[in-house]
Amino acid sequence: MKYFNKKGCIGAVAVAFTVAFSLAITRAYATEGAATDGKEVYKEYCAPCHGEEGKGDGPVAQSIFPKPRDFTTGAYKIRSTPSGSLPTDEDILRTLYYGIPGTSMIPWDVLTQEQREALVPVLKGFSEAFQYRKPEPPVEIGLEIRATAETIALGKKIYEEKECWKCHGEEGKGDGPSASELEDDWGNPILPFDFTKGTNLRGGNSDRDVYLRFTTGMTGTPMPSFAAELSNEQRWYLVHYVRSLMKPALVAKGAE
Amino acid sequence: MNRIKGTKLIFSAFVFLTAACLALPVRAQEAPAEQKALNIYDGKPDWYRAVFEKHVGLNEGSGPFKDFFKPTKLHMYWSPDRHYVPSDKLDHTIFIEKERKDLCVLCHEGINVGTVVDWQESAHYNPKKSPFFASRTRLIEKSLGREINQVHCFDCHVDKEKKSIRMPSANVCGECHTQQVEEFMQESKHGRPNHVQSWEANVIVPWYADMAQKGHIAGMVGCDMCHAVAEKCDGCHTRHTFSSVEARKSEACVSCHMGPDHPDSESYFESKHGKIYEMQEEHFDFTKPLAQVEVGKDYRAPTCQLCHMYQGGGRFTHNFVSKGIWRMGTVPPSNIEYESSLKDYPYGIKIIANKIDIYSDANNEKRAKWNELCSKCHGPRFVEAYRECIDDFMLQAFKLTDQAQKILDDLAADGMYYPSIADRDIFPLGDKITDILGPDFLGEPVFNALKTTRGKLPIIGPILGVYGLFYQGKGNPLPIENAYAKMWFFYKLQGYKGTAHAQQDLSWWWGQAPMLHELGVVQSEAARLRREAALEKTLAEVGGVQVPGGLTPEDVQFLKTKIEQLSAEVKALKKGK
Repeated sequence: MKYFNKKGCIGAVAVAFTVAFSLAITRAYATEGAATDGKEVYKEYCAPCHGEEGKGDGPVAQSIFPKPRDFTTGAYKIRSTPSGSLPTDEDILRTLYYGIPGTSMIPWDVLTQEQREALVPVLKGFSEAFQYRKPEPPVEIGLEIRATAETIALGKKIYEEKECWKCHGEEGKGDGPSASELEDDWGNPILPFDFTKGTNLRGGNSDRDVYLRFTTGMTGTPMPSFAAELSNEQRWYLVHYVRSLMKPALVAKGAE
Repeated sequence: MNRIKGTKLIFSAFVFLTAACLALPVRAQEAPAEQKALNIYDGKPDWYRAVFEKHVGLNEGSGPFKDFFKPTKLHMYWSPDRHYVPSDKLDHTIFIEKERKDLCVLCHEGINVGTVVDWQESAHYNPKKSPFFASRTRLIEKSLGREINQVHCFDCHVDKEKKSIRMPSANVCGECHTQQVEEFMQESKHGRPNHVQSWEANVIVPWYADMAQKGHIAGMVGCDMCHAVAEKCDGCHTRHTFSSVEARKSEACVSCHMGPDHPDSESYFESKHGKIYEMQEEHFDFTKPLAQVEVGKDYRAPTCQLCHMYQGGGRFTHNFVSKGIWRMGTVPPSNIEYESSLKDYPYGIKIIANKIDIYSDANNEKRAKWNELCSKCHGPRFVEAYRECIDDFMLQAFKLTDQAQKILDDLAADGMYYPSIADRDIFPLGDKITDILGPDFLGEPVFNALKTTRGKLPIIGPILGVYGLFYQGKGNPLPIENAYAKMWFFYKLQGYKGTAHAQQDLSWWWGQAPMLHELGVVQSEAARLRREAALEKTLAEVGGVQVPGGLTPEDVQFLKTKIEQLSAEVKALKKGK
């Protein structure tokens, strides 16, 4: 019995191999001719929005809102690194792969992994910052706390004390008193996120992603880091509260 | 037992995977196995398809005068089959090649997100969102032979053969909504004016190309926006909800159907019908297809659609012109005696309609359908009396315009135009029309007249005489010509719509009354021109100068200079004494 099972396994593996191999050939064939020269890839797929020189001023940029990022200052919004730090290569690749929801930055999974990897040095090349500084190591994500009614209530208190409501509004609708005055680092008007719309959190929808945004801040935007001001526990409480602001149906949909 | 099971499992897995491997290349090569697509240009002559349908991007214009103007960028959207080219700012090929339609919606959250939200609320997003939509979708599924659970961006916006973005035209809509587009195409068998030939009407007129040549093509955008309804469905079913409920409302028509030549909005919305519609719109049930509307219960007053899409016998189609007797109100009826050159209308020209016999069998059939329709609410005798009133209004109006046209005919014949026909600018592109349209379209008499005069012809009245409202050259048209153009093209049509749509103020104060006023202008202008010509003649005779055929402006100038010289000499002589 055992013997046959083993043989069966071998057979299946062999079949799988054949299939994988033929698929690999097809795949290779399909992407043959796809540029892996980072500059070429950038020019074709990124420059229309981000501009040939990475200034965020491509021909489509005017029509887009939120605006495409200007890479020349090295300010990257979605990072795992502390506030003020450059992003790691993995951070950049993460954004390339997942995109930035709610914006025209799509998940560039249409490109190959090689193409995305080839883009990283091109993007970094737009800013001198990468020549002089190295990204700091990613922040530590402290022990996660389970959400309860109590942690949500604690989070609400922090939301009030830390004046999150000033921008994000008392009900999280992004309509706080300062909301209409906010600007990004380039002087463009920028809107605080409306949590009640949910699902399109720029840096991802998981609790961990939300925790990271509190911790790292969102460089280039008025969203600061709370790493110094809030303990690990407090940041999780805030995550729980912010999640509670999102409509349950949307949270469930976003979690899919 | 287990052994057998295991082997079976492996075998079936093998079969499945092999099949999958084999299927891959086959799928890649699969041609778009759609049914033969509809084409709104089907059945049109070759010359027509060459200038309206053949794709030329932005290289040349459309219509017979295509070489006289370059299209504007907006022409890509007005006449997409001929002019649309994908954006050069962002190449979408990769998304099409990798069939990543999911990315459309993601990216477009940041750029024209309104289209995405619209689409998400449309029946395209969820074609089976209600039992009604599900039943309609099943019909389309049957005709296409495939299941439809969503109509996505790619379905309308991707040219599968070229692997590029396309701007959908009625032909694209017709891939699924075949019946509706076919109904729409039926309009052309009634002749212009109609919707499906409206782009043709826009650019076949020489003044369009003439304006473009003079650098005024941007000024024609107002014409383009309405006349673009020919190739598209979104004139009524706006993007990207394409809602039938919306298209059933009278408001859907009136962004085009308004203004001096077809004041349908003004006449309908200010009529009792329109007022009831406005006051009680919430009691109208627009979710019902027109054929299911119970008059009185679902609609307390008619909408544009309820009357103009009615084909008789309880049927409604997307043919809006099938019951049009007077059409737009521009074509003279054959049922009256004309004193003026209207009797020779259409002057040999074959691109425009002949006179209308408003009592022909075909038109009486239309009348019967109107009687049937209006009698749903009104007493049949009232309906007939009202219909007769519309006809009589128009017959009388044409008689009035005949008077004015006679005055202008006589002025031209007597050489009373000032500046004279010889001295003023020609009819728009009058020296080129003959080469472009030829005797086939123009008819021998008009062709010869234009050819020999190279466009130095007075052209008044329906329909080419309307050029004066679209054009101003040196001394052409004269104010008297435009007074006449307004009389028959603006005020007659306003009176027509005011009467037909039962809007009394429009009928009189914006119709009949100003028609009379313009007739007065024509009369007095004519008298002035004749008086001045007579004065000129007397002056010349007193001065002993006989000028055969009257004085040209140069002659007058010469005389003036002479008189000034003579009086200076006389003065000098007197001084010397």
